[in-house]
Amino acid sequence: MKCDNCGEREATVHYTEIEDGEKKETHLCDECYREKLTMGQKVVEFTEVLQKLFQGAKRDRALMGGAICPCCGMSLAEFQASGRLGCPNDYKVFGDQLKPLLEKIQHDVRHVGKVPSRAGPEAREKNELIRLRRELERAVQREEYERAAQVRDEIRRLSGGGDAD
Amino acid sequence: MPIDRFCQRIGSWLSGDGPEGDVVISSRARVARNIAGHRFLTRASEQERRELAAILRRAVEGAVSAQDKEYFDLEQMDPLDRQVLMERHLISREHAEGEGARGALVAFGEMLSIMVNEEDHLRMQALQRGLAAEVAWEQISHVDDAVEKDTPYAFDADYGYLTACPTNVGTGLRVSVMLHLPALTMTRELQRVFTAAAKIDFIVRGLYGEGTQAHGDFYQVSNQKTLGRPEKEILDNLNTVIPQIVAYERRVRSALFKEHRRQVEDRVWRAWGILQNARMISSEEALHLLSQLRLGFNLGLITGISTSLINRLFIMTRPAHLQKLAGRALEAQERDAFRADYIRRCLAGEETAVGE
Repeated sequence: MKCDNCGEREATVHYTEIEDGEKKETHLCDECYREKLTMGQKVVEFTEVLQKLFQGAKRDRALMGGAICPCCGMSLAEFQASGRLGCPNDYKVFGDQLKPLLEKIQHDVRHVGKVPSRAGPEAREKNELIRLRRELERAVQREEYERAAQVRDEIRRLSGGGDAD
Repeated sequence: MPIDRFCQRIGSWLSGDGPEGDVVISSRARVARNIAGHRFLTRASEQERRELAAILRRAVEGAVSAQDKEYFDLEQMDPLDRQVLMERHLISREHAEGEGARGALVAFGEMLSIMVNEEDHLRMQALQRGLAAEVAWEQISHVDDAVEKDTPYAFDADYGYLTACPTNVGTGLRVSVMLHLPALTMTRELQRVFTAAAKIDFIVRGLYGEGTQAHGDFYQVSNQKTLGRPEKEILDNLNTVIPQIVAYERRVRSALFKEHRRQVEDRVWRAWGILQNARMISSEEALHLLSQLRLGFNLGLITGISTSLINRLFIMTRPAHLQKLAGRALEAQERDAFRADYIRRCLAGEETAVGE
């Protein structure tokens, strides 16, 4: 007997499922059986959750005011498309949209566990650095060298005299 | 080239058996970290990416004291050499095939590897033989502390360690164990393994992680969630469920051996026969036969070989490794021939590796 799924290899696994009171016999080869097992895991598909959550959100776009991160310039729509955030500040900017997403994929919204051994620098200052780096790149692109120099000084000041390049 | 030296040996996490070594091949703990004050790589300009690569390289080289540490500038490397690192489980497929400024630090006989500029600024992993996820976690946490000393991380009191993808945020920790489950595969009892894993939010995958299929009865079990559970809880869960799976596999192995001794012996000895005599073996067939060989060895049927030798055959018969051994690019058919020759020579004791 050939495998129900690929129709090529010999079926080696046979089982009966009862669905809506109807018996359904399945015959699979080793490979297709294994694939079925792996695929059958109830994995919360991240991108799927993302799409579903934002379907509702799209309607209220006006309400969200098309949130854009002032630091990295990431928009909510871009996050929705890629599933990846642009900088640490996005967790704050998109907090309202992230919480339900985290509940779905992580079943939790609060970290417990290891924390950095020393208090990190002020997050606000660090996020400002991200914004400044982007501004610097833009100034250079537009050949506004005076502005670029100012921004570079500001970056140097904020990152504690370290090199900004 | 350091990569060529790599091909003369196997990682120390593969040389010999660890705890529960008849079923558990290895354990791994990996943390995802990003440094504060920089965009994630998804959003970083080419210039910032380059800047990050330099900062991070300095940070990890400073933090890791190992004599044997080696930093690989992946952007400058030959694709084949990058694939070698991937086949050795030192970098991800994405990192091997990616683009732009990025690197990897490898140390402690390949038990530690740090990916620079993968999806997150840093992906750091420790590997251990057998079931030893706790040891792996302690080691990587130690490295984590050392890196953090001079390089502040993006961390939030609510969300924990901030990562580019929300599926890693929180502890940023992924622990996984690689299991060899031939008896459970043979008797189609795997469903129970998947169910047991799912109960503690663990997921079962193929040999090379995400999106890969199980081959040759090897499975990778890893935690799915990273937020809201302390590292210890993740490890405790793992240490409860894996021994159950191990005991189950052993039980079925001995039952099989008792009730169907002929059939089991036949499978093992056929595999042994093919490995010792074949003139062409594909990569997939090799995995399958080596799985049988490993089973035969652990059942005491086949003697005179070692776990290290079997593991070496697993790694060295992957496509990139074979081409490094051959010293030139090989077409698929040539590879199958070269693979069969290499395996025959190894089993005849004509090929040895450093540190075996």
